[in-house]
Amino acid sequence: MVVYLVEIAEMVVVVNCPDDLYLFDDWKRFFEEEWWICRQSTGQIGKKVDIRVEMGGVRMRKFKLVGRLDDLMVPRTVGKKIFFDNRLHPSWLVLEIRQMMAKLLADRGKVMLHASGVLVDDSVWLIAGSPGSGKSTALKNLMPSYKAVAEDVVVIESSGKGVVCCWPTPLNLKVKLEVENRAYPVAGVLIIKKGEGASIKKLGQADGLVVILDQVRNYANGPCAGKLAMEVARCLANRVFEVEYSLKMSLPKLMKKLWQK
Amino acid sequence: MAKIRYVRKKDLVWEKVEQEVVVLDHQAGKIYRLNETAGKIWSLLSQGREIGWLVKEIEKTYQGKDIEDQLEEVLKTMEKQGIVVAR
Repeated sequence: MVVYLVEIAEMVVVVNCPDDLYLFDDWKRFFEEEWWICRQSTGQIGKKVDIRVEMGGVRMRKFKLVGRLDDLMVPRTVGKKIFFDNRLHPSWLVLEIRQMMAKLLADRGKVMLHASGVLVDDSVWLIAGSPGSGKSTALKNLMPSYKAVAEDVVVIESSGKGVVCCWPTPLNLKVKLEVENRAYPVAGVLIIKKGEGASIKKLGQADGLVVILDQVRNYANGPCAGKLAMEVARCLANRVFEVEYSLKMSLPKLMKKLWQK
Repeated sequence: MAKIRYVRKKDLVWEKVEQEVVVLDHQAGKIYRLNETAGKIWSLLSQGREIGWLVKEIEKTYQGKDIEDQLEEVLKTMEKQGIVVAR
């Protein structure tokens, strides 16, 4: 059932995109702290504040979804304004900002990929998979032994000569990343699959290419980003491994088979 | 009446890998995998091509009956998927 939003909060924020794209913790702080404090401080549900988000001249696209998903309300935009109800979760706005970031990143020769990542010997192994495959669980499972570099979204660039690098997740809301904010070479990609067994299987190049493109396609929404996505996928296609494991088992132990080779 | 010419849709990104061609339609957010035969046809569509010309080219590699019908079917499927345009 579609429930239309009540126009409770309306706030204008004009933010110029910083040159350093990785300073988006400011966004996180704003939406997690300042905005909530602002709303609480009014003490009124009906208080209206404008929100307008502009980053590097890119404006928010119009939201297609207007409705209710689980217990979270989806915001909608009218012109340059975005409307939320009083139960807005910052993640919704973060998702939208990510789309804008994808465009900005493409302009700067980078592309976003739907994956997490852990640091192994100063290289990053990306963790991807279909929805519900256990990517987040896998990351948590690996985190006591390996530092997380990215959660859910990672920024990728091709450095030429087959080398792909990644940057830590901008706008990360869930996992505390304890790594330096710089580019790390990507060693390979793990495609996580929940199962009963414990196996690591290297995918063929065509399968690997398709799997990587599948993780990047929602962010590669322009000719420039499309070419970048294909370049990155081409470089990584022969380093993609399907990892099947049960949630009960230790993933670091299983991964040692691959990472200690 | 002018004959129909088939050409790849603009702005698609693709890669030949192993025996396949993988096509990314970034506007639609879709990925297509073309098998060896479809990949061969794809490689011939860099410019607008008439079906007769395509049949001759394909017959250099593949022999068999009804090549024209099969080719037409593949091209129509590609057109339906939005990766090939008929002019």
